[in-house]
Amino acid sequence: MRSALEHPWRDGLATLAMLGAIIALGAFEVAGLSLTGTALLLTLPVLFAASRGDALYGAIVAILASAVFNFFLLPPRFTFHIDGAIYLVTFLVFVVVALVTGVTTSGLRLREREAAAQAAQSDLESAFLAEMALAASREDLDARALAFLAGHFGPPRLFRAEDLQAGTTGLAPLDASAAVWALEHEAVTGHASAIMPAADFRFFAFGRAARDVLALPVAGPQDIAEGAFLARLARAWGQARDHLDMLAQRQRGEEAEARERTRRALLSALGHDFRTPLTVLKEGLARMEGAQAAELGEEVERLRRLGEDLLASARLDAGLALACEPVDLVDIFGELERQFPPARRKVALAMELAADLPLVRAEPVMLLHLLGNVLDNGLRHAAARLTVSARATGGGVAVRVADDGPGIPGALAASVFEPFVSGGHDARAARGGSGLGLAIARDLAEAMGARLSLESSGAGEGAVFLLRLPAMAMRGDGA
Amino acid sequence: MSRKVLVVDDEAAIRRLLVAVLARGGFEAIEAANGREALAALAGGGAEAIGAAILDLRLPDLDGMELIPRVTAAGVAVLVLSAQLDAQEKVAALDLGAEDYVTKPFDGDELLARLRVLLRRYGRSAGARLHFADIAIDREAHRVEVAGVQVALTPREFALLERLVEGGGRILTHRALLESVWGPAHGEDLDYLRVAIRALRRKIEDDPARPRRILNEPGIGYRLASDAANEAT
Repeated sequence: MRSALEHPWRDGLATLAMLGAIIALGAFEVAGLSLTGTALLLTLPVLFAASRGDALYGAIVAILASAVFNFFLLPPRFTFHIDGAIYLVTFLVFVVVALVTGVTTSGLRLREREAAAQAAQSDLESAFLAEMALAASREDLDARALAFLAGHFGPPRLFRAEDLQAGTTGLAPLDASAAVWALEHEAVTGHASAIMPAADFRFFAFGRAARDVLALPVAGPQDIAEGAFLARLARAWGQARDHLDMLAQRQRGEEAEARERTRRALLSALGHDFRTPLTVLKEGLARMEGAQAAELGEEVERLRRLGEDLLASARLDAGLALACEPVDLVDIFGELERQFPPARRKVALAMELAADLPLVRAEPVMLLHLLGNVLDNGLRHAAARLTVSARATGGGVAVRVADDGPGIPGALAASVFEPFVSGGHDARAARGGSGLGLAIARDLAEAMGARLSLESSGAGEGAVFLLRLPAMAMRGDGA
Repeated sequence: MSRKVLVVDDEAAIRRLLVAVLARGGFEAIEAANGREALAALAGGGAEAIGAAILDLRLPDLDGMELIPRVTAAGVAVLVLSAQLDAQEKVAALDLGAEDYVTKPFDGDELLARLRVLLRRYGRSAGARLHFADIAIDREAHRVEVAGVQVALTPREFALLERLVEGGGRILTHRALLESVWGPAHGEDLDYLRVAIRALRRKIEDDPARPRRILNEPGIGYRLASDAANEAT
């Protein structure tokens, strides 16, 4: 317990000296000091004692003053006998003065002490915040906060939520439970708190995104190291951390966006530089006549497909976001028929579409590219006919591309989607393929959340490719 | 119909190719190798004689996208020459006022067909009666005839077909159709459009599974097949 007096010995002796001096003055009637005047003078040591100490100490001095006044000065002297009621009043006045003064001054003193502690806290808090504001990164922030707290409250420790939950902190069992409690209940726990006060540290949980627990040792200046204030510092640290995390995340987002823009621009330039000369070649050849021109035209078409496959592959590698939308396969089939007109193929192309198929979810240009590659492959391997059909399946639509060619031998079936694998036995069909077509088709399917597979294979059976596309819920507008 | 077409491309080989294709179609080409030359050709009364511009979006001095509104502001229809397969660039160009596009490597005949549609549109009147190919619309009587046969349409289907006929074979982006038929808040509701187009195709196409009248450009929008396209198929 704290002493009521700031300087017990000095103040005590001073009080006693004052009492003795006044009694002596009264006893020898120095300067004609009357009994009443002495009684009045005796209020001085009572006031002094009550203002230096507290009400209790004041009251003790008041009783002491009454006693010595009674003993030394009041007749009959050297007895504690009291003659008149008037002296009881003197005694009461002493006590009341002592009590009132004591209560008032100790209240004032308490408030003064609180104000001083609060000023110290806010000085410390602003210094802490200023230190936080200098942090350039999360690591820097944590280092600065720990150094600051160490300077003021003794060496702090920081525990990560994962370590606490795993129990790998090396803390004593009681401290470990207090820390976990702080983490789980966002409360101040440990030493001198309401929860597990016998622990060696005080624990504060903080931070929103990545929660940590701060542990502070018991040492530290008593006035300012109270739990609520420390919890406030921990909270400020957590907020600074969340803020830095958010900034870092935003910056990462911007960087990713800039990277994506650059990649798009690069692919766009690449596409332009590739398709422009191809246009000149194609249109030039279209105006020439003869078998050689037709053959060159086929080669240019092959070159175009290879280029488009490489561009699509680069696009997939760049990881650019896909704009999937509801697609009506009627439109895709129509576009494929336009891409493979009778003049450009040697076999029949039968397109069969079941009525009222659900809409599918796809990136339409990629879907065209994908099916274009599968059809191109089928047309090169078909003997007389390639059949493309679509039907609804549970939760989606399956597009089936079946040729009546030699089929894919079992040994090759597993690697049919590998780049540059082709039916080596079939020289006619192998010629004209880009070698990338099916590999790109499969990658495109995966990128759209679809699945491309080789359904049936075997020599002489023809190859059947199946593309499963996810359906899209159809919302009519009721009109 | 003006026979003069401005060709804006920095590749001399493409310009030569376009000049030849245009000559085949009976058009006279005015060449510009960059944005500055294009604007110079349009300035000084040149625009009145020019009906359309074929514009490559990748130019050495100006962004082709910037050039689109400046050319259309001169009353010249823009046909974009796109080297991109994906829809993004084309939709952006159409939103900026381009009338149509062709993708490299393009087909000369298709380019000419698009160009004709685009030039014809400017001479069309906007009266109560509209027609395109074998589709006739009477706006006041809310009547639609396809190949001479009257077809009953819901108000939504009627509005949709009306927009397409007004477009006169020109491509209308998904967003433009949704916003004008369903309202500005529905620009993203592509499924509404898909469902309504299906319903419309069931009523006006001979075989709804093989539409010949209402065509879709994947990722971009719808157009009515022009007579030339019908002849080609």
